Amino acid sequence: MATTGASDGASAAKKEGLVTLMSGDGEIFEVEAAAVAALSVTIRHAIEEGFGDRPIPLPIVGARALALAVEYCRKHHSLGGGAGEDSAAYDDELRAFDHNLAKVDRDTLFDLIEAANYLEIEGLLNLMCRTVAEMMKGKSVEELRRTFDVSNDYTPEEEEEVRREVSWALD
Amino acid sequence: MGSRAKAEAEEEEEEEKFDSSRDPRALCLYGDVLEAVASRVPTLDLVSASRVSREWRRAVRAALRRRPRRSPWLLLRLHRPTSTSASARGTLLAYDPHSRTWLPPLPHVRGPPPPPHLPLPRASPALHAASLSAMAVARDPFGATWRAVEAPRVWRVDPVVVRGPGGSDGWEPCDPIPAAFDGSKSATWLSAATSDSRVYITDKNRGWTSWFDLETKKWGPTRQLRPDPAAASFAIGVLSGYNNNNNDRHRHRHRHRLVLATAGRREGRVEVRLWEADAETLDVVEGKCAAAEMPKEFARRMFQEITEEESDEDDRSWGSSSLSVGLCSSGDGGYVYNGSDLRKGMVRFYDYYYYYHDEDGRTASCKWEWIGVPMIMQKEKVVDRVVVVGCTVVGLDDLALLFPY
Repeated sequence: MATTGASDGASAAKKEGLVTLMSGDGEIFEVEAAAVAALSVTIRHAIEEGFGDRPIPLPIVGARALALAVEYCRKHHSLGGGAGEDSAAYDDELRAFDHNLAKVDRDTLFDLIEAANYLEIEGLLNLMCRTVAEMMKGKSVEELRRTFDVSNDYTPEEEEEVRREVSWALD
Repeated sequence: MGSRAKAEAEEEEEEEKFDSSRDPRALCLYGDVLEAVASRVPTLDLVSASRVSREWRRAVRAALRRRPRRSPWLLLRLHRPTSTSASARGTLLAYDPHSRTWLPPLPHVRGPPPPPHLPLPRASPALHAASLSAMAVARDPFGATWRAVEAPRVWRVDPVVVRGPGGSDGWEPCDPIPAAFDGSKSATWLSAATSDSRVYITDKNRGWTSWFDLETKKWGPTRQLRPDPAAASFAIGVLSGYNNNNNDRHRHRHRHRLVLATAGRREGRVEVRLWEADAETLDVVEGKCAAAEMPKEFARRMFQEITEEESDEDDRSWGSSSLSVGLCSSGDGGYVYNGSDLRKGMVRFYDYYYYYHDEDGRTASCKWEWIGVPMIMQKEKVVDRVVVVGCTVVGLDDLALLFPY
């Protein structure tokens, strides 16, 4: 997943147009700079700041999430030119790719949101957050706690207060 | 996944940098990530999300603070005045512009209490229902709760009366509608909009416009607004006077802006434009690019059938009378629709502003979004229903009232 089609020997690691990413758990990924820079604001900035010729450390992104995020960037760069869902380039193939990506298990989903948030990949973040939003749809407070494994840390009195006081909504 | 979590936990001890902020309890949503999710969750689902735990509440709060949801919702109340059963009498349809979704139909939202015998007047911002002997005012944007008030016990040839200040009951008659509105005083021919202190009215077919000040109880100037000679239909709306994204304009927050929607035919096509008028003098800002034009494709879909009919009959004057543009606005934007047939679809506009262009001078701009109408509306026969259109900012507390989980 981390290699590229243009590779002709590991020794020529510093090939044109490649950038090295290091996941939080120490895995190295060599990827096309153009693809990731087009979609990830964080990596674009890192390259602009001259990080391009040594591994870019991504401390809070795990290897598995990074692999998926990189795959997302590649696909969207080559097929859609990095354009958003509103553009004409967002075709059936890209839609199917996104649809499949959104089917990952819950923990991977959360990891991917964290990765997309850190790497500032707007499209991926939107896609994954929408998936979570879909899981929240129409659920009661109790159902949400069950679905997302959250324990209720309110006292009964506080909970009653929270129920009454929601007028901060427009702040 | 449990094994991976353990592996990570072990790694965490060795490598401090990795995931040191992670909540040790479980792989769950928290912090920035939860906030990122919350900012993309439909407003309706935020109500229960905000009650899950302290952390979720914090995240919902932070997400709303970062991206305030201040755009007005579109509210359509389908009303069958002839029906006697409460459940069949009305259904509420609500569109959330931030989530770009229609809420599921809300038949359980009670309509105005019986016995109003007259159809609901088109009114904003508060829904109200009136008959000759009783009147009720909605307490919330959705009309889920109602408060009965004393009906105006005065008979007037024209319909303007004023509620007492501060929500107190009681009415007082005021000066009649200016003479320019003769022949079109009934609510059918008037487009109305309100700000904190004023009611604006516009003659839908001729563009005559005036305002009534609720504090001084006086009418302002009466002007015929006709910036576009081809315009055959007019509607008036109010926008807040400041731009949410522009902090230094906050001191003008009490001022409001007036928008005039016009629809007219040019070369066989319907053109819909939004103009800005001075809220005081009613002067319309004119110029080649002074109005924001609705995308032609939207205008075509919205007025499709009327245009076709007209080309068949080739009778311009008859055709013009059936062209009716509807406008409902509040806060930073609003909705434009076909006043003769809401089922054609509705268009949202927002971010209305202007800038100066070297050649064209003052140039208006706004964003347009086709929002269609929900299925339930498309199936309706127009004659069966009265539809009240409303447009107002909705908060979580208003939603909590509808969905008391």
